[in-house]
Parts: sequence; structure tokens; C-alpha cells
Amino acid sequence: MKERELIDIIAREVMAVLYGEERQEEPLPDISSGEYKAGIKLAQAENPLALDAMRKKTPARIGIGKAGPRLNTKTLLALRADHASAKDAVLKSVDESILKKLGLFSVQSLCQDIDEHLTRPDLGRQLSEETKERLLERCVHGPQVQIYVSDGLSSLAVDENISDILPVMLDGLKAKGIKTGTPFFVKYGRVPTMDVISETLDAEVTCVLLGERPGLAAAGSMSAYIAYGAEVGMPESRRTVISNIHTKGIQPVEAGAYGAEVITKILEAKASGVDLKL
Amino acid sequence: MRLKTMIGGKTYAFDSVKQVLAKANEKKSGDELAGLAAENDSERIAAKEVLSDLLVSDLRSSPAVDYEKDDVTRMDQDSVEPAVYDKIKNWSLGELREWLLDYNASEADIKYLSKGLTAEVIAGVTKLMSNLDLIYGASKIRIETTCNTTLGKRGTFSTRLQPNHTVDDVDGITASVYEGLSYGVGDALIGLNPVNDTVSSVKEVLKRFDEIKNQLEIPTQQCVLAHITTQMEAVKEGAPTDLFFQSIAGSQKGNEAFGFTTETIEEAVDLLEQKGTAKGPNRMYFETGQGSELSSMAHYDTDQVTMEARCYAYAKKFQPFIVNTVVGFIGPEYLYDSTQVIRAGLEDHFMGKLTGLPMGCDCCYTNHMAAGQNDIENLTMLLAAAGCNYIIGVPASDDVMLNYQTNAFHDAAAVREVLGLRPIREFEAWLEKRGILERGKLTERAGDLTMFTGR
Amino acid sequence: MDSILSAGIDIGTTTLSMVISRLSFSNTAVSYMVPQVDLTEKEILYKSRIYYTPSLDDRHLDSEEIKGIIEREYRGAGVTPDMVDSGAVIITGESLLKENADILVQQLSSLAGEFVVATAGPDLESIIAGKGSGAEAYSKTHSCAVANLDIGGGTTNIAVFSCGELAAQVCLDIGGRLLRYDEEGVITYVSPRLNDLAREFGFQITSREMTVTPQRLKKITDIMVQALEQVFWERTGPLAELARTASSKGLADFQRLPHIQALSFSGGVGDCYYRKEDDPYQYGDLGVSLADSLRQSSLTSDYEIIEPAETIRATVVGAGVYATTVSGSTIAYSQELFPIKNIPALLISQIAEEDAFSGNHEKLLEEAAWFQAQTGAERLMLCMQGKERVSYEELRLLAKSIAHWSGSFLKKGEPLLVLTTHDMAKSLGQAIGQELEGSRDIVCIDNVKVSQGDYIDIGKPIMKGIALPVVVKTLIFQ
Repeated sequence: MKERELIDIIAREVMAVLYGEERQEEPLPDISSGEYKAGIKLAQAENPLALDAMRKKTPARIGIGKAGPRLNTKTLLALRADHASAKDAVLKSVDESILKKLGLFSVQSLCQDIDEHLTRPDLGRQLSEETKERLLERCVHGPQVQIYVSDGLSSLAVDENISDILPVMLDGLKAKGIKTGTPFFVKYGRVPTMDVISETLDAEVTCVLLGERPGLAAAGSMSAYIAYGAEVGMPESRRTVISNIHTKGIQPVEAGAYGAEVITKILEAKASGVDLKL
Repeated sequence: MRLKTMIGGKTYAFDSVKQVLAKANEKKSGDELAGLAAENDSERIAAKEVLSDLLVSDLRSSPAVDYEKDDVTRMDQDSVEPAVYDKIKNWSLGELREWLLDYNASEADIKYLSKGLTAEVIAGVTKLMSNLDLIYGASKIRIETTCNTTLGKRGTFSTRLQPNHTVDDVDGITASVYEGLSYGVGDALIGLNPVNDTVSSVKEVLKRFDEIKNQLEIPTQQCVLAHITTQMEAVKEGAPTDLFFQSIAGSQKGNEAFGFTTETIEEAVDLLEQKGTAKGPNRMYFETGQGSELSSMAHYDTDQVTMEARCYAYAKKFQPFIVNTVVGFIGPEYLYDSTQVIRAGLEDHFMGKLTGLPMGCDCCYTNHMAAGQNDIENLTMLLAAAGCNYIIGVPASDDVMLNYQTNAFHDAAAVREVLGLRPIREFEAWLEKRGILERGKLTERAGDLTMFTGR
Repeated sequence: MDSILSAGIDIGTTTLSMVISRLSFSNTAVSYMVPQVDLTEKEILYKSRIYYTPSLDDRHLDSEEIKGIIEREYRGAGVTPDMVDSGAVIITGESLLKENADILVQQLSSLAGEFVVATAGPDLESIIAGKGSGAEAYSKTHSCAVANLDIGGGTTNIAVFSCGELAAQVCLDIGGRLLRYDEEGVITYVSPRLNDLAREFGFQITSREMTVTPQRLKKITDIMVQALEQVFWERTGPLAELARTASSKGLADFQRLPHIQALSFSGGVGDCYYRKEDDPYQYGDLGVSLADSLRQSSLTSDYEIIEPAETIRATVVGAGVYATTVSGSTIAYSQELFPIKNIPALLISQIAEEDAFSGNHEKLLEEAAWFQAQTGAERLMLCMQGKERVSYEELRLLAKSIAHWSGSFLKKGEPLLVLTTHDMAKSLGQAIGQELEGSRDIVCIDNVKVSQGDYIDIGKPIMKGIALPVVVKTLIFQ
């Protein structure tokens, strides 16, 4: 060992004794990270090559080992961490500052609180008369495309994706000379809320960017539901869906550009959902 | 027929048998969403009291949906054996409950009596049972069925291996199958919920399952849980399947919303007899779950437990190999929290068994419910104690495709060990031959999915 | 589902062959997700017989005869060049060194179909032969690491696949026809590369003066096999290094390889290995003896040896089936510019990319100017990593940088070609379009793997225009 290294080590040891708390801290492991999960791996496989190859083939948690018949501690904790994020994503509210930055005003479905939102999908689909009037006051009437944002079952999805997907989508439509309406945010919204919005604002195409029910893999997954001439009571099959919008799925800017193209095709075909052959 | 009662000086009156059944239900958010639930616990107990005094004949003559407009009602009513029914038609539901729990009621006695029961009677007596009653009552009844292997023998506890994948990548699916097998999971079935409901995709997966099953000589069954018409098309094009799967509802309208009719199922059964790869005679696989009728507005103002009982009446007709309730998949608008999910799981299992079905349970929950893995592990233990035929197994409890959690591959072995249960005999022998299981315990080697990759 | 016909033509040191295959593409994503176009089926429709590579003399291929063979085989297969939408002409080993190889390959590629690309390069051939032989598929099916040795007349192309993934590739100047002799056993040709190896053992071979005996042949081929053994046992070694083909990247990747479980042999000598010829003089070259030396090598006793699906046709099948990839479905392009051929890939540095993401295009300009000076290329494909997660602001800045760069660097009317590793081509294409306001055509693709020095060909759009077939190749005629 070189003299200088030795001096360094001694100095560090002395410092550690003197100021215990200032000891260099190891970087903290993030138990929800991909790296942490990659480290949860069967220690001794009969075919280590195959173990790595198979783990790459699926996002499922395989090749993770066991404690007796049960899960390892790290697996258990990673699962709990992911479940906690998923539950938080459902229960939290959308970050107001993000909505403000994008200039989105907010309205609310008939649901009064998160509990009602989760248990009364029928109320989540509806808007009060006052809310409809508010929309009429603040929004362009009869747009070719009405895009709006809603929390759905993951507010986190809105927080994480909306700043990137919405402007790209609007840019893409603008470049094609398509007139878009005034975007806004609907709290406690469900997918079919778009039907009443379409009717209220008399939009040719309506598109909602909405948070999906979180899974353990992605708490902040967003979908775009798009329909031509959406109307209350129409079958679900008339909606065109682009799902899996999140960092590990399709990234929001790319989904925005793709969404603009899909909307363009819907306008040309005057049809959406199963009636539209993409 | 008495439709009113008194609790603490307050009178509770009900309009109909249907309303009594609904209000006698344990609290479920789905009944509240439908506007059918009891206002409060007192009204609930009042309804239970009224129900306990209703006769078997009162319930039989008040089916949830009219006989004329619903083939589920017709199939249920027409299958009642008159001689059995005549013996019990004047029993009150309270008496029926006590008879079922009585030491004198043997398994054979219950199976015989079952022939005289309709879905509404079974739902009614279930509403009078406590959770332990449901466990104790169900534990008396074992239903054995045979496809390639025989499932449901007393002392066994089986698993369906569910190797779902986000994009149906066949190699990724295979990896999860190997993972499950290495934990001793899969004696009931290797069955995939596909992302792609297309004939070509279903064929490809079935072909792979068949290769794995034959190459490794696994004594089990295989199936892809696409829509039944897609599976039928795949089999007509030569795909190897042991079972046909379909989700079912408790009314004809509900089944139509699922995109099939009774004729479809009959045709499917015929097709499997001709072209299926299993010995049989049981070749159908049905899934149910409280609340699905309301979600398609096919519930006829009936509570979700009664509609669920009607699913079982429907299923019985086709002598399925396995039936399971996907108890917590539908979300908090139907089952709000762990109390409701656990209750529903026990109800469904008991009702299915009493109907004569080989019941399993997908003990599961979504992330927007007030439930977690601990609750699901509780339910699993309760059901295993109740003699449930099988549960589901996925890698580490996380289903990456359906975005919900169910039992982990790691659960079944622990449950079996605690309760002294085993996989079915042939499968256990296969596990021992492969060095996965030794004297009922997982070996050191178990859990190494690469053990199946040898050339 | 959409399908195209693909041709593979292999002009090796010794033999010449051709295959026609059908490549089918389909959208593998479910309807509610962004489409994902993949090459989902590969079917070989026609295999030509194996011809000896016709040459006029030591320095010239018989190009008229070769063109005649290809035209005849096309007729035999029932296809015309206009039906063929993709594929590759590969010229390898000694044939590559012939003076007219360049012109011939260009001629063949237009004769074979508008988008049949001419390609060469030893490492790429190793990969193509490894895939064509079936070694890649075997390693995937059996979850193991397999090395395929495609031993032809002039070279041995080695590719290692681990569970279906390429792990390493190298090319050595070891082949059956590095030495040739007439019926009397008089040596008629000896490759200088063979004498490079012989020199290490203190001897030299001279043509027209020496005659062969089975023992002499064996002595030479044992040395060749010793070089191969070094590749596997030591993962390097003086003989292996000496035999390495000049333009092959070399053995660096072999140091990091996992344990290899099995070997397979393809190519003409590989075919001999499994067929066991008795007469060492059968072909007037080293082939039979080399196969025999291999059989006695510790390689074949210590590794499991598998027989691949294709032996002598491994390279041609690889060229026909495995050269084409696809970029889709979220891509952007302005109009019908295709096919675009022979575009050199400029992989920009991480620093230049970071700069571009923050709105500066100076480093892009510097690197492109340097690249142009090096290669003399008129056009280029700007290749960058991109990001798994790009913010709207970053996207706009990057688009601005690239648009500015194109204004300063590209000629008027020249299309702007961009490739990203991460899936972001559609949004980037859209954002660049906003900047350029229609002043220039744009092609923006992603999900294609390229390395510095690669060339890119892009075919006509498939799947209703949502995807483009792409061939990434190495060119050595420049």
C-alpha cells in the first residue's frame, strides 16, 4: 500500500471516531428501483445462463429464490413498496402546480370525495348542470378535437406524464391544421365522462388522457381514450385506446405524437373504435 | 309467508323475497351501488331473521329472473329432483342451515339433498351462515372431477399455474411456467390469460404448453383463457387443449354480455369430446365473481350473492373440471375491502360446493381496493381449511398482465405443510421424481426454474 | 400481416449459392397499445444448388458466368427482380479480394432486385452464418451458449450465441482453399496468410515446387486447428491473433464470454466434418484434412458438438433471411424517398448529444464535418442514443439543434436522416418538422442497432406505411 493511501485511511478512521455521524454514507438502495429488483436473484442456478436469459424474457418476478417455502425478505419488501406506490397513486390528488403550469382549469364529476369516486363509477361518469355551464363559459365550442385530462384511478399518471404528452399532442394536431378545443382537468373522472363532455362542447372528436388502475409494475400508467362523436350511452367499442403510456411502456412524448396521428385518422375516417381500421 | 319482523321495538317490513335476500346480505359495496343493500346493520339482521323463517318452497318459487325469459332459471329449476325437493320444501331456511351443520348430515346426505336445491335456496342459506359456518359446511363436501388427472380428493390442495405475460411472449410465458413448476405449482392446470384474443396467438401458446407438458411428462391439464369462440376456432385448426374456459354470469343476459349463449357452450363440449387432448369426462373450466351481472346491467335488481349462486347452477349443467371465483378482481365498487373480499370468497366456495361444483378460488385484490397481500393470505388459509380444490399461483403474487395480485407460487407449499395437505398423487410423484418435493417439503433445488432447461 | 420476398446471394471463396425467402411482418401489439411491427415469420421458398465460384484467373471472378447463374436460378425459383424487395449479396473470403469483386457485387445487387443490398465484412458474415446455420436458434431453444464455426475456403467465421443473443464474433483467415494442388499433388496456389502461420513453425510453402502428402496436409491443418483451439481455450493467443482477418474486430469480446456448452460447424469444411470424406485429395485443397484435424482436436472431444440445421448454406440462408430488420411503428418520414441506399451512420458522441439536448448544435457540426472529411460521404444518417424518457422541453431543444445543424450542414433539398436507439422517433420527427416548416424532407427512425462504420439501407414502407424495412451492413468497397 502506498504511504499516501495509508495516511488517507488513518485520517478517515480518526475522523470517524471524532465525528461518527459524518462518516461517509453509502448511497441508499431504492427498493422500488429496477437495480434493487435485479439484485433479487437465485444465488445458485443449475444453468446461470438460462436464468439471466429467462429473466430478460418477462417482467414477471422469476428466479428470485425462497426462504423455506416463502418469499425472501427483499422480494417481500419490494412487493410491499410497489403496492404502497400503487395505493398512493390512487388515493393522492393531482399536483395543482402541474395543472397551473399547463394552464388547465379544473372541474369535478358528481363524486364528492375519493371514496365515492372508487365506489360510485356511475357518479364519476356524470357532470352537474353548473359544471356543464362552466365548461361552456370557458371553452371553445364545437372544436374539431376536444382534449382534456382526468385522474381516473391514478393521479400519479397525470403528474408523471401530462406535461410531456399534452403539448406534443397539441403541437402535432396544430401542425396538421386541426383546430383543438380548450383543454382542462376533470377530477374524479371515469372514461365515459368524455361522452357528456363531447355532448356539452359539441366536439367532433373527444380525447381524454386518463390515469389507469395501477399495477405493481407501473403506478403511473396513462391511457388516451379517443372517440368520434362521443355520446352518452354509446358502446365502449366505439372508443380507440392507446394504453401503457409511462416510462417503462411507451414514453409520453412518443405517445403524444402517435396520438395526434391517430386522431387525424379518426377525423378522416369519421369513425373510431372497432369502426376504425388503423 | 312472513315478510316482516321486529328488532328492539322497531318493525322492519320487506316487499318481496328478492328484497329479503338482498338486504340479508353481508355488507357489499356492489349491493350498495345497485341500491339494494340494507340501510344499516339492524335492517340487515331483520332481513336475515325473515329469511330464516322462509321456506325452501318460498325461495324456489321466487327465482331472481323469470323462468320464461331466462335460460339460467330454466336450467336450474328443471334440474331439481322432485323426490328430494318434496322432502325439504317445507323446511325453513334456518332449519336447512342447522341440518347442513349437523353431525348427522354426512357428505353423501348433503350431496343427495343438493339435488333438491335451487340457486336462490343456496344463496339464502349462505346468508344465514357465519364465516366459520361457511368453512365448516364446505369442509364436509368434496367434489372430485377428472380431466387428464383427478382433482379434489380429500387431503389434496391443488394449484393453477398462471404464467401471464404483458405481450404474450411465448418464451416469457415458458419462463414463468418453469418457475411455477419448480415450486410445485400446476397440478390443477397450466392456464394463461392471454393479452391477444386471437386464434393464432392462442394456438401458439397451446402448442408450447403441449410441448412442455409432453416433454417433461407433467400429469396436468392445459388451457388458454381466451374467449370461448376463439378457443374453439383454435381447436378446429388443430390446437391442443384439454379444457375450454369461459367466464359466466347468473343470467342469460349476463352471459350474452360475455358474448356467448348456452348453445355455444354445448357446441364447445361436443367439440372437446371430438378434438380435445384430455381423457375427460370433465372438460370445462368456468370463472365467476360477485358483481359481474351488475357491471353488465344483467342483475334484475338481485343482490350479487344470489346472482353468484345462479352462476353455479348454470355451471353444474356442463359438469366442469374446475370452477373458480375470481373473488377480488372486480374492484372496490363491488367488494370494497378485505372484510368483504374474504366474506365473498368463503360464500362463493361454500355455494359452489353445495351446488356440487369442484370449486377453486383466485384469492386476489386490485390496487384500488382496501385490501392487501396479508388479507389474501388469510383468505387462502381459510379456504384451504374449508377444502377448496385449488388456488391460483403467479410469480411472487404479482400478475404483470392483469395488474392485480393473487397467490404467489410460494404460497401453496406453505399452506399444504401447515394443514397437512398434498398436491394430487401423480403430480406429487412427478415433483419427487424431479427433485422438487421430498416428504411434503420443497427441496433445496425447488425454485430453480433452470432445472427444466437441460438438453 | 405483410410479407416481402428476400434474396440471399453468397459468393464465397469456393462456392456460390442463392436462396429466396419470404419475410412476413405483423403488428405484435394488442389493439389498445401502440403498434409494434416485427418480423414474425421467415420461410425459405427456394434454395439454389451449390456452384463452384467461377473465376477467370487468380485475380478475376467470371462475372458474366456469375450473372448468368443468378439469372437462371431466379427463373428456376419463378421470381423476377421486381418481385424481390429485400435481401443481401455477400461476398466473402478470397472472392472479396478479386479485382472485379466491387463492380460485380454492385451489378448483382441491381440484377437481384431494387433493394437487394451488397454487403461484406468479416464480422457481419460471422453473425449472418451463425444465424443462418441455426446455431442462434439452438442456443435459444436449449438455453445454452453455442459457438458456430463457419469454415469455408478462405475464412473461418466464428459467432457465439448465448440463449439466442449474440455474444461475440470474430473472423480468422483459416479455410480449406488457402492451399491448392493439382492431380499430381503439385501445389498450385498458397495463400500468403497460410505462410504467415507456417512461418511461426519455421517453414514456408511454395507453389509449383512442393507436392503434398496426407502427412504434410495434416501438419498444416493441425496448425490451423491449433489457432482455433486458442480462440476457445485461451480466448486469445499468438496463433489466433496471427490468423485473425485484418478487418475483423478481434477477440476482445471473447474474454468476457460465458462458458460455451456446444460447438457447431458450417460452411464447406463444416459440411465435410459431418460427412467424413475419406480421400484427403478429394477437392484438391485442405478441406478434407482440415475436417479431419478438427475431429481429432480437443475442441471436439471436450465440447458437445451439434450438427446445425444448415451447414454449407449457412451464409446464404443468413443473407436471405437475417439481413433485414424493421423499424416501426412510431416513426416519422416526410414522403416517398425510398429506397435510400448506402447511407453511412454517424454515431455522435455522448457530449455532442448532451449539447444537442440543451439546444447547441456546434459539436454536431464538428463531428459531422470530421466524419465527412474521413469518409467523403455526401449524405449521412445522424445516429444518437436518445432517451428512454424525454421531456417536452428537451424534445423541442433537440429538434431545434438538429434543424439548425441540417441548415448549416446539409445541401438544399437533401433529406434529413435521423436514427435514435430509444423509441422517440415519431415525436422527434414531428418536433423537427415544426422547426423546418417543410423546407426539407425528414426520415426519423428508431429501434435499429448500428455501430460506427455501418451503412444503412431503408426500403419502401410496409404495413400500410407504419414501418420501414432496414438493412444495416458493413461496406468494404469505398
